Amino acid sequence: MNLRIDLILESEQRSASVLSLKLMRRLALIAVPVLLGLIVVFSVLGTMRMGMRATDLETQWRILEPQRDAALERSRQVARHRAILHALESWPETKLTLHEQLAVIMAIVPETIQITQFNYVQTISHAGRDRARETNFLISGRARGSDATESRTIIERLEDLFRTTEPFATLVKSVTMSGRADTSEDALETDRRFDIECEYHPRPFKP
Amino acid sequence: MKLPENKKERTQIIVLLVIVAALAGYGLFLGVSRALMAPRRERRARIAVLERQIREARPVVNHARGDEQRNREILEQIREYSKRHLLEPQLGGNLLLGATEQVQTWFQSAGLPMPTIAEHGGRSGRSAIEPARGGDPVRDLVWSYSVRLAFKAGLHDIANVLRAIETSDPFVTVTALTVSADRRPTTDALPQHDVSFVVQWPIWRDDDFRKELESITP
Repeated sequence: MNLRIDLILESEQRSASVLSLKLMRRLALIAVPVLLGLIVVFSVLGTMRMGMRATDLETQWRILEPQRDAALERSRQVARHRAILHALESWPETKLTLHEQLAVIMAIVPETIQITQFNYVQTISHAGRDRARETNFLISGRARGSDATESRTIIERLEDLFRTTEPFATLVKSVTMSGRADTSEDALETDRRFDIECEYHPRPFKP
Repeated sequence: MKLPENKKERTQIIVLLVIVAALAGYGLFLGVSRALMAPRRERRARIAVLERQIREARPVVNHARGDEQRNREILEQIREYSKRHLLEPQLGGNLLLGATEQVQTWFQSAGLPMPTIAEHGGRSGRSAIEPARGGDPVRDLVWSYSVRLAFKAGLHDIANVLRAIETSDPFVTVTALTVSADRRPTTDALPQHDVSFVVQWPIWRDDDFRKELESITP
């Protein structure tokens, strides 16, 4: 039979192990609050530092924002005025001088042709946002040849002259001719009526 | 409370206590950190926004430093064009007076009598440069004013008066011309054709911009 006698009181007994409940309790009561406290302190300090940075940036922005708004408004004004200036500069640059063209027409129209109507129109229009001057004219008249074939040839030659003679050769995009017999009271049998329409290349304004 | 003497049981209890303590500590940490992190997150976001706004605004402000001078130079050029070439209203907004004076000069120089003159198109001859989309600064400010002239003349006189008009001012434009041949029987007199043409000037839509131009000091 084994007998064990404890001469040490229970309250005096110590554990042989390094880790005792007492130690762990002590660790918990001291270390955890210290750790938590450090975390809180660092967080608060970090938050305060951010707050100061945010305040500094708010001050900078309070000064910069009206300057930026004024700068944007000035840029818009410059763009607006520049567009107006370009439109004014383009006005004479896109214009076609009619008296010079009329002088050429008078020179190329032969005596066998009588002009009965001349219509010339120039407008400012848009293609998308691009502004341009568009021009066209219509010449109506009568050709008088020795016979109908010659009358037709006279008209065709005139049409050709509008395609090849300057300034029309450069300025005009298309020449369209239509002819028909002349049924007016004062017409001869050989007379032919015609319409020649010339459409010019658009002349764009500066953007 | 004493830890059991049995090593295995002691280890188990210690491990259990450590786990419980760790979980409790983590829970506490999460709660505390959330309470502390929320304001940090907000401030971080605010800082990021402010830094971006400042970064974007600085080049705009720097670039615009020269804009005031550029704007002044452009307005001075526009003012020159306005003074020399745009038709100015007289006597409280009347454009026809100024137009008639110019027409009289042209026809006198071509040796022709004064034609019939009437405002053409738009409201009292005034038209926006058409067509255009909204917000177009040019359309909003630069309009045209047109008058229609009607008279009788021979081809050479027509050419002469057109030359007088078109060489007087590069901004004055003949936008329409209609010549209908004289149908009278052939006589010794030169044919007098019916002529109608439209003369156009650029104008300011209203006086506000003109006054703005006049207020610029060189």
